[in-house]
Order: sequence, then structure tokens, then C-alpha cells
Amino acid sequence: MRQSLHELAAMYQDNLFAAAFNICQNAQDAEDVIQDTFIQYHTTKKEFENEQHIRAWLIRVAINKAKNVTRTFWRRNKISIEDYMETLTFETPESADLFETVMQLPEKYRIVIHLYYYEDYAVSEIADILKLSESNVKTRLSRGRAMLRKELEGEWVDDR
Amino acid sequence: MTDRERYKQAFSTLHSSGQFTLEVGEMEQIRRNHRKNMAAAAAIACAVVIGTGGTAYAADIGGIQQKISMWLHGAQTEVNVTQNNEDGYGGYTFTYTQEGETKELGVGGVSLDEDGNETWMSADELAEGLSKSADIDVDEDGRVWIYYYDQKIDVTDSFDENGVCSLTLTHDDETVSLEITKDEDGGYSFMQTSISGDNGGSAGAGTVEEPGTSISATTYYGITDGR
Repeated sequence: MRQSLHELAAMYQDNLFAAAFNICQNAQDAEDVIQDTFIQYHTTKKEFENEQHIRAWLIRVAINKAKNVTRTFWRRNKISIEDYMETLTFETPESADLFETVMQLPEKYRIVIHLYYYEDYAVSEIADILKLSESNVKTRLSRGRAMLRKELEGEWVDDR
Repeated sequence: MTDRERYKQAFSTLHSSGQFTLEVGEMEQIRRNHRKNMAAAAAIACAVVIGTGGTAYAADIGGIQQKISMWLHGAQTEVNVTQNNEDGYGGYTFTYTQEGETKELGVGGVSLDEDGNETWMSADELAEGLSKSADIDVDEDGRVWIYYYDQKIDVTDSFDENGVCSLTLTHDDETVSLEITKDEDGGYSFMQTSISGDNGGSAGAGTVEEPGTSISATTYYGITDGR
């Protein structure tokens, strides 16, 4: 099956932005990743099984493209994560703390945590999206949680 | 509140500006521009030293070396390949001799699969791409030459009033079209499009259009030889 780009943009643009931002930590780069991801969808001849298949594929492509951005030596990085955070509005100070702490995690833990807690993916699905083994995902998830628990103390209770 | 709820609350502050286009023509244009930028960036990353140290020089380079036979400047040429870094990230140095002169060529490139993964290309892939790519050269008399496999064509007088020259070239069962553009700074760039046969490559400031085949990977090549 295929869905129209306008439908997909309405449904997933914020998810793609969050996933891309999680990796490249730069809003403009994340916006570029969204554009490139939709271009990739437009150009691929891939047939999808269902909506969830499309969603997972879009997130995988966005993550890969965001990783590519971080590897390029000419990446822009005009605005630091600290400066960008000042432009964001958080509901509570605890939310700001959590956001900042997650952003300080190593990338490999950050993206696994994000897919688990924000996108509600199971370990097996994360393994499929990131092309990792399930045990590798579990390890990263466990280490990422431990870091959050240590840094955030009572604000992160590790309730799974 | 659970950790999951806390996390979602914290990250719900992130929103896309929505400043992207879903219009097909504009997306195609972005894709073309992106390819040109990639090719240009790869070309900038390449550097060449033209030396006359002969074969001893290549032996002094060190690192992992191999020999590849490929088409360069209209001649079947044997090149010594040195990997600049063990992981291939730094590209390769091709050392070869033509007309009694030893030359070095810095090459590197990435391929993108349909999931958006970038992979650094191997020396064989780069050599194959460069062999399939046309090559442009301006001689001491200012004549503009196009090389394609063993063909050498003088296109100096074939440019129109807009500084564009178009031609079709065939080698075995592969046909490509070339659009060569004279740049404002006096240099030349070209776009090579595969009409039939396998995918092609590009050189200089050139780029490659995706062929009408089922090949899913898109490749970019950048190369400059300082001439």
C-alpha cells in the first residue's frame, strides 16, 4: 500500500522531526531531514504492507539521514543545543531537565530511548528499525535508563 | 506520572516548522541540487599532486595498496590504489603514469541505499564509476576534449550561444548523453545521463542522473586532477 505525502506529513512530521532532532540536535538539520525523508518516500518504488510499515520505514530513513548529517564535516550546527533549548517551551521544569539530560546521553542510547518511550516501539521493533540485535537494543536501553536514573534521581523512576 | 508520560511530555515541545515542500516538481529540484552539492563536495575533498618521482614514489606511499586497471583520460590505465584510512573514510589515492608522467588522483564517494544509508565506496566501485564516466580536458591550445573509454572528441566549436554542448556517446551496449556547460569562470562542468546499459559516473563538477534501470543505489563521484 501507499499513502499520500500530504497524509504522511500531517501524521508524522513531528515524529520525524523529533527523531531527527534527537540525533543531529539541530532544528534546521532536522527540518532538512524531514524534507529528504519525504523525497525518499516519493522516489522509492517500495510497496508497504500497512500503515505501521510505512511509519517504521519513514522513521528508519529519517534516523539514517540524520546520522548522515552528523557525519558530514560541513554540517551547519549554527545554533547550539543550549541556545535552541531557550526557544522551547516546557510544561514543567522537570520536563526541561529530562529533555536536557536525554540530549546529553550518547547518541546510541538516546535514539533507542526515544523510540521506546516516545514512539512506543517494542524492543524487537527498535531492533528492526535500527538493524541491531534485540540483545543490543536491550543493553542500550538498560544503560540509557541507568544514566537517566543517575542524573535525574527522583525524576526518573525507571518504571519501564 | 510514568517515565513514558514524562518523556512524551518533555519531547512534545518539539514541532516541525512545516517548512518543507511536498510538491513533486520542487522535490525533484531539491533532489537534483542535493546531488550536485554532493558531487561538488566530493570534488572539493579530492586533491591531486602531480609528481615525476616515477614508480619509486608509489612504493613509498605505504598503507594498503592494490592495482586496478581502468579507463582514465581515454586510455586503459593501470593504477596503484592506496587507501588513505583503514576504514575507507578518507577515500583513496590513485597513482598512475600517462605519457611518461606520474600522477596522483584523490578519489572518494558514497552510495546511498533506499533506506538512506550512506556507504563509503570501495576502490573497485570508484574505479568502475570513473571508467564509465566521461572526462573533460582543456589542452594547451585551449581546445576542449571529451574522453569516453577510448574515444577522444574535440567539442571546442560545439557550444551554443548559452555555452552548452550536448552530445551522445556509445561504448559497447551503453549509451550516455552528455550536457557540457561552460562556466562563468571559464571552467567546464557536465552532466552525464545513462540512456541505456548500466549506470554511469561523473567527473569534475559533473553529476549523474539516475538511469532508467532498477538500480536502487544512487552514486556520486567527485574527481579533480588539477588541470
